[in-house]
Amino acid sequence: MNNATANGLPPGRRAIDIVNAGLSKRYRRERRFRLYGISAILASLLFLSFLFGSIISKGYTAFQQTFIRLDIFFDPAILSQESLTTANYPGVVKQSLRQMFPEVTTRQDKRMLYGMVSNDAAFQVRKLVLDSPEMIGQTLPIWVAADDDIDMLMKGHFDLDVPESERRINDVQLAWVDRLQQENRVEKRFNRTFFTAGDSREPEQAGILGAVMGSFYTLLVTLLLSFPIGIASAVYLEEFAPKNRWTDLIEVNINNLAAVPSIVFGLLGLAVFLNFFGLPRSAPLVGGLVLTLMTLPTIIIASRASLQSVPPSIREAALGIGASKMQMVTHHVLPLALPGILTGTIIGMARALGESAPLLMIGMVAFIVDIPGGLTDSATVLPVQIFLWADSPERAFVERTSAATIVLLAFLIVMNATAVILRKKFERRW
Amino acid sequence: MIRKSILLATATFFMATAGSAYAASARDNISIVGSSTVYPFATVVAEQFGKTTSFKTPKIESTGSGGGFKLFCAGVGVEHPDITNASRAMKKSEYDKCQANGVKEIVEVKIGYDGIVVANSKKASPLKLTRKDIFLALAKNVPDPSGAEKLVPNPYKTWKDVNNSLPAAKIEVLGPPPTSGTRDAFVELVMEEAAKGFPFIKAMDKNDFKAAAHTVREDGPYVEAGENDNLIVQKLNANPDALGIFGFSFLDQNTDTIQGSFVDGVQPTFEAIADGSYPVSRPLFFYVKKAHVGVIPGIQEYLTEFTSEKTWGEDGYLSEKGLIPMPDQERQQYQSDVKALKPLMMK
Amino acid sequence: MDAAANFEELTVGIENTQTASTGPAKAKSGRILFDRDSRDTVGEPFVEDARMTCRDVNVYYGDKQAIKDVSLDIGRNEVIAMIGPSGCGKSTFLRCLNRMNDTIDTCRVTGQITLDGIDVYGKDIDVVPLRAQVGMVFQKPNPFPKSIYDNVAYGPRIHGLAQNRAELDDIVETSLRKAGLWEEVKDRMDQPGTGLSGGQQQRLCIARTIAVSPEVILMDEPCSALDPIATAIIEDLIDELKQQYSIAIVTHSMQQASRVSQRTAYFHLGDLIEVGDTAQIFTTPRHQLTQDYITGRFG
Ligand SMILES: Nc1ncnc2c1ncn2[C@@H]1O[C@H](COP(=O)(O)OP(=O)(O)OP(=O)(O)O)[C@@H](O)[C@H]1O
Ligand SMILES: [Mg+2]
Repeated sequence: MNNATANGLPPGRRAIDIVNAGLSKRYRRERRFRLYGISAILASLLFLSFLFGSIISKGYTAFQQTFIRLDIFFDPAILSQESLTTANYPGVVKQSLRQMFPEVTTRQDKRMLYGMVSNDAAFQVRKLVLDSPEMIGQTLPIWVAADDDIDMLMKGHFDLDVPESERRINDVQLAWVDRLQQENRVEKRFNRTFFTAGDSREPEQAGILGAVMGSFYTLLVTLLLSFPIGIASAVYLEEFAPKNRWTDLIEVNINNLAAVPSIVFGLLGLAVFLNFFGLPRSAPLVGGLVLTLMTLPTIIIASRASLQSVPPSIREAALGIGASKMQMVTHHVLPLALPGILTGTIIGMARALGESAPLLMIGMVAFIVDIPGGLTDSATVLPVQIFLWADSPERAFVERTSAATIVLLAFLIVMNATAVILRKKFERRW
Repeated sequence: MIRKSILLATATFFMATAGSAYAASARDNISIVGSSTVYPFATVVAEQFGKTTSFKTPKIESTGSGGGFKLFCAGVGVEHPDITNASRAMKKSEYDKCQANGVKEIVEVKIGYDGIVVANSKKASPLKLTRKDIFLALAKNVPDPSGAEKLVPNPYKTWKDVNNSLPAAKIEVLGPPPTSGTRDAFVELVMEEAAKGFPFIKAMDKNDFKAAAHTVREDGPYVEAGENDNLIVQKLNANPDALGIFGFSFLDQNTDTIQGSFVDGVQPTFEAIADGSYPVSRPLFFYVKKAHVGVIPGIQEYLTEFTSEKTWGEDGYLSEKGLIPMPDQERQQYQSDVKALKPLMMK
Repeated sequence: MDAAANFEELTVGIENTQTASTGPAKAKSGRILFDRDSRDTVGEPFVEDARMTCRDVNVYYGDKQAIKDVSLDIGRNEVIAMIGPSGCGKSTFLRCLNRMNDTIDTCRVTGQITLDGIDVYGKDIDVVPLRAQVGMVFQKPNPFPKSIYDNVAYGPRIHGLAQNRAELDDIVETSLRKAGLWEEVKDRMDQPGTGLSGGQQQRLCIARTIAVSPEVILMDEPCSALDPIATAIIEDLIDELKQQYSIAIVTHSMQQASRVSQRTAYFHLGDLIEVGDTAQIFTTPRHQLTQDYITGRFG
């Protein structure tokens, strides 16, 4: 049988010999490709761990805060003078500090002494007195937050080798801190303020709750708008719209929108929502609307891809027993596409969570202390808070910037993990 | 079913949207915009004000001085800001815009001074510069080194080229971009002043002079470092040969790692800026829309807080944040003007 | 290969009942066969008391014509098989009958198709009740990724065929019994339909189709993915179903066509070449193309 020539092979050569000859080359190629893949992944892991490492190593200290124990004398002489709400609480704190350091007499030194504790101490005392006025007349040990400079000193962020005149903490203050430490009056504790307070210009009083709530309200608006609108648009375009030049045009535009720099959406929001509709500046409502514009293309594209991936046999099955198009979509196609749609939505949301540029235009890049309680209250969002802190001169904001970044990353990781879990959970194989 | 709930959610949402438009008509917090240089000071006052009074804490946006005036002068009404901060005085053109949009009465409040420093890392020794040195090092076109009275593209590569008494280090200055108020002030206070020292430049017509004095070189030695002054500070630490240009408050917060260069023989210290001997300093302002006083709750009280001695005085809390207070007399003058809400007049 | 074996011996002179452009020719064996180039339908495409009628049906995919001037009836309680080489338009024709082709944007249908005298392509015909009356079983089993019960119950549910749960259970059970699947799945009704074997899935799809009590069932190569045993089960099922339903079945297996169908239609490149009683088609085809196809001499 001279099959070889019939197959177009040179006579005397069997196909298997040729296959075998090329085999090692094929495997080599495959090994090389795997190697490239692994090194690409390793490289990105390396960058990622570098990023995380640097942020976490800079930021973890912000989750602790230095506290100083003061023996506060709730002096009836000061506290009964006026009504208790407006009494001179800073005076109470100052008096206690003076009693602890009786040797401090000059005006300059006293100022330095008062500066050792956060000016929040007075508000803390005020709250205590208002809650239980029977304290008046007693002397009680109270832990108050240290000033940010002392906090930085305790965390070792100051170089003590430079000449005294060039340090933010001078030798006198160092001596005071030493003394407080010897008396066990200095302690590092978990920094609750960081999670329960709004922004502040005093680092030791600054927290991310305001920004987190702002992000929450903003994303709530974004989700409530972009999810249904995104799904509706995707379903309409994919299942109902005729395929013609108009729908092509719409598709091209949607794809383009997904690539538009986000600041453009901010400009649009400024022109439309603020100037035309007269919605309030800096409000999560407007932020949410702007981010909706930004996330919609992502959601629509992801949803359409996900709808497309539902096998046509399922559609035919439903139509074949007399389901209407709407029933086919809602009973079969949409449930099957949902994991993909949810993944797209969460990824869109995660992008919206990290976005700050478009919010600049609508006034959400702002110093806002009060924690927003609704959609129209002035608010800022987490990435903006990070940006604002990064731009603050106080040294203690450096670690808080990183800490806020850690929180943001944590949110992003949770969201993306949810996307993965949802996909895993609902993913069906046909 | 899903579709129905989608429709429902969307409808509810638009209703909520429409409803909130009404809510916006009753703003109960002061809205402040403007300069990023004044921002660190205004925010401290706002926070203090919010804590110690029953009013809400004012909202402060950092939009830059020009951006602030634009928003401020857009009109009267709750959707427009009540106060704008500025690291320079209001320009006539901006004043006219305000007038045209019905913002008739504006109260100007000067709050103090800010020094602009040229600083380097403590790892190097402090530089003793003159404004002329800085101009020659950073201008795009400089007077011909041969002495001829004409401008040539900046040939200087090292500080020693500029001035023999300076070290032979490469010129490398990190500074703010043109959008920044700090840059405006720097150009005006350093470059322009130095340019005037050359009679032939001073004699140029207005536009030519501006071009000569205001244009910063783009061939490398001047690096636009973005608006983030903290970043500049970090970069200086990494590169001892580099100089940085930023506001005094950042030097004040980082005196352990960086130092201010001498400018015309004076080092940027709190005292030197306050008494005016340090040449590169500028006044900071804010402007109040008088029509909003009494409409938006708390404006009057905010003004009182800002202009009290414990805030902007010699020992006030703003000085701790790096603001250089005005002399006593000027403060008193402004305090009484503010109390009377004396409107700004520009002819 | 019974049909082919018989072929040689038969020398039946067949008169031409249809008008053909090219007249009958005498085959080598002496029989009169219609010429290869003749495209008019040979045989009797019409029946008395038809359930569905098709008249001059043309189907186009864009510019390409996939079905050319086909006229054919589907009678009551009969199984009609459609055979022909791949790509000749069998599926296309079948899908016209319940307007499944509507889902293809480029597809255009002309001519007239009626169900019980009503034009299914009529202006105010709703495809939903049409498809409830003309059910379809596809080549590849395509159960919903839902439970076995829900697969069968879905049609009755959306059409509101059951008043209550008990009635629905009843419909599901009868349908599964008819499809010959009940005994195999009655204990795992809540398990996914996609977890069944290929043959079981196809029977599930048949049960799903008959659960809505259609009048006509269209089957597009229902056994192409099945082994002989599963095929036999489905063929028995088809035999049983024809008591109540009209069935049109596309198949590539001539044995299957001869086993299950009463009439057979042979398609070639969009034309309906020949139609007649199954026995006659497989024993004494009258068109050269039909003969070539069933003797395997095609191409
Ligand atoms: N959606 C479509 N778009 C364009 N052309 C199509 C489409 N579906 C089928 N066709 C074409 O129509 C012709 C008939 O196709 P059809 O699927 O009806 O063939 P068939 O007889 O069922 O073949 P098979 O036995 O392989 O299933 C073929 O030429 C095919 O290429
Ligand atoms: Mg087919």
